[in-house]
Amino acid sequence: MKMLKSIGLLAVLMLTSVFASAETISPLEETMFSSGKMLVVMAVAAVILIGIFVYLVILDRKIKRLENEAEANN
Amino acid sequence: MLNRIFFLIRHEARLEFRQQHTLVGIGLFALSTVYLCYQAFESLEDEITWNALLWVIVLFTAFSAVGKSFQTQERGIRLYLYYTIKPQEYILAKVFYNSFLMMLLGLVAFGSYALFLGSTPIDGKELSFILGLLGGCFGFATLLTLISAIASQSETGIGLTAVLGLPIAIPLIILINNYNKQIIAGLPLEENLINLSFLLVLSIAIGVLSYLLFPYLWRD
Amino acid sequence: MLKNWWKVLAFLLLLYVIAASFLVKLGPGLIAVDNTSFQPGQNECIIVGYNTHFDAGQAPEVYFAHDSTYMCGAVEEVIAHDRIRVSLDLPERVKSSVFNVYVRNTRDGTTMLPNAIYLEGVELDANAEGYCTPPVGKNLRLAFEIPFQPVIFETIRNLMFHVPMWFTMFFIMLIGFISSIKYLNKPKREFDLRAEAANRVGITFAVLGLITGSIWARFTWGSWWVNDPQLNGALVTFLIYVGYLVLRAGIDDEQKRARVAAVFNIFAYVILFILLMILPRFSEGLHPGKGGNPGFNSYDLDSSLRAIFYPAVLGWILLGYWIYRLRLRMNRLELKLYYDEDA
Repeated sequence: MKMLKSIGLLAVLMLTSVFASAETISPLEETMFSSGKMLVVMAVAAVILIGIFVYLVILDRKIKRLENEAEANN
Repeated sequence: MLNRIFFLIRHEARLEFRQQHTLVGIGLFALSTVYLCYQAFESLEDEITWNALLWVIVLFTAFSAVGKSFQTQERGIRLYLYYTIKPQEYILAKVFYNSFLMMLLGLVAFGSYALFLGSTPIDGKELSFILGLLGGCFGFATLLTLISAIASQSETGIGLTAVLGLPIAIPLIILINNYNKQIIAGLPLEENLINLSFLLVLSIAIGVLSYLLFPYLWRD
Repeated sequence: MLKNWWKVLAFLLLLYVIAASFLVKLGPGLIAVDNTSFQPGQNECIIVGYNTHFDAGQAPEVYFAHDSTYMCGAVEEVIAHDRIRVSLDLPERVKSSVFNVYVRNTRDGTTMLPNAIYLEGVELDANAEGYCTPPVGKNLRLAFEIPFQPVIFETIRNLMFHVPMWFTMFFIMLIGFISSIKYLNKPKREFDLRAEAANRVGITFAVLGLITGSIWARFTWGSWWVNDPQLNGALVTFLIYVGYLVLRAGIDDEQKRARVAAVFNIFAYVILFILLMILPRFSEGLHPGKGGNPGFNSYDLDSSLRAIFYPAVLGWILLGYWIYRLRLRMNRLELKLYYDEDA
């Protein structure tokens, strides 16, 4: 029973990636493929959130600079 | 209008041939690049490398030939043209002239390439390959004519043509590459026309855009 | 009434989208078969499902199918809710050497794994016998769930994150395109500011689309970058608009810069439109909708996925527009500060 499960799991890992053969499953892939590749979704959402925040921070700093210059002018 | 375009093309050609050093320089550039590749590779067995190398040479020949097409003008001539002709006629003449020039240079590059590195990948398919070569040269020439007109407005100089032109040249290269791969694989021309016709459509779209947009650049 | 209603709308839409994308369950599907090569005679394999309920209700039925011809398998044992052991008596003569697997039960409807098994040592014969006719029945599922897809599994949720980045980019760059046209018609500084702000924000979304696409590609297609028309177009877009910024930086005279940049922007946008909207439809690639890949429109983008995807597109576009407005207001302020005049 337990062996069956591990065989099944191996099959899942092997077949989740069409191009990667059984030997080329890296530790990274093993992590990302677990729980139906849900981690990939998390990674993508995180990248977008981080990207937008970084952009806003840059914008914020530029506005700060403008404010400072406006103050210096007055 | 056609008369004036022909006049302009003749004028461009005469200018180019009078200052022979530019044209000869570009021919020399193509030839020495080919010879350099010959020295580096001796002979090319791999079809894909053969094709890729040829197109890199053609592309860079295009950049050095067409990329400077708005930079060499003297101010006096420019002013004279500005007051005597319409910008649309001028850009069309430029596009046509550059296409002819580029096709000529493409053939020269291909000829010397085939001479030094052989043409085994396309043996028996030379005609359809040359058709693709001419199509590609036409595409590069139309694209780079407008791009060099834009780049000449900037003070950064000639490097900008590459920065602006190379990204837009990528789709052209992809289409030509698909076409050539299928030619090399032995697909008959009729089944391979889709890539060539897309290349043509894209080139003509670029030409139409040049016609519409150039008047706004021609204002100094 | 409320002046900034669209900002509230953006917030609410994205709240709904993020909640729904993470909370709605993925529908049932088949992941793998442990024994993929069958020989004539008795064969056994274990079929692994995902979010399936093999152990609920009646025992599932199994078919091995090619086109519209079926071989009926027998369920030997239901091991777990996502695992059954199946046997098949394979004849010597078959119609095809590759078969899909279908599992049908009352709770999950029909689930399918394409090209699941390969037959070895069989004779191909178009008139082969040994097929059965499965009972015809409607496969009605009314549950609100995200459809299961082979290979991509849960990452179909990226449809709500990765794909709207491109929609947003295109929308914002459309604003830039229109502003550039307006500028050439009527050289007002305001239009140039709009075009610049739009293209800068557009580049940001292009970068986000590229990075997220790369991550998604790595774990579905097995490589960070693949040769695909959509990816080529995306990279070209990014490079062209970086070129736009370089072009702007190279011209000192303000009016000349605005004019030349507008010309380049119009040129670039039209070329990109041809490149991204028209060319990929005629060439092969890995993205859905072409070259043998099922399109998301055909059957995958079912009604429950639509109910999340369309709000996602609208929500991200509104957020992008908001960021663009911020950038534009900053540009105007900068102008006012340095030149002491309005746009």
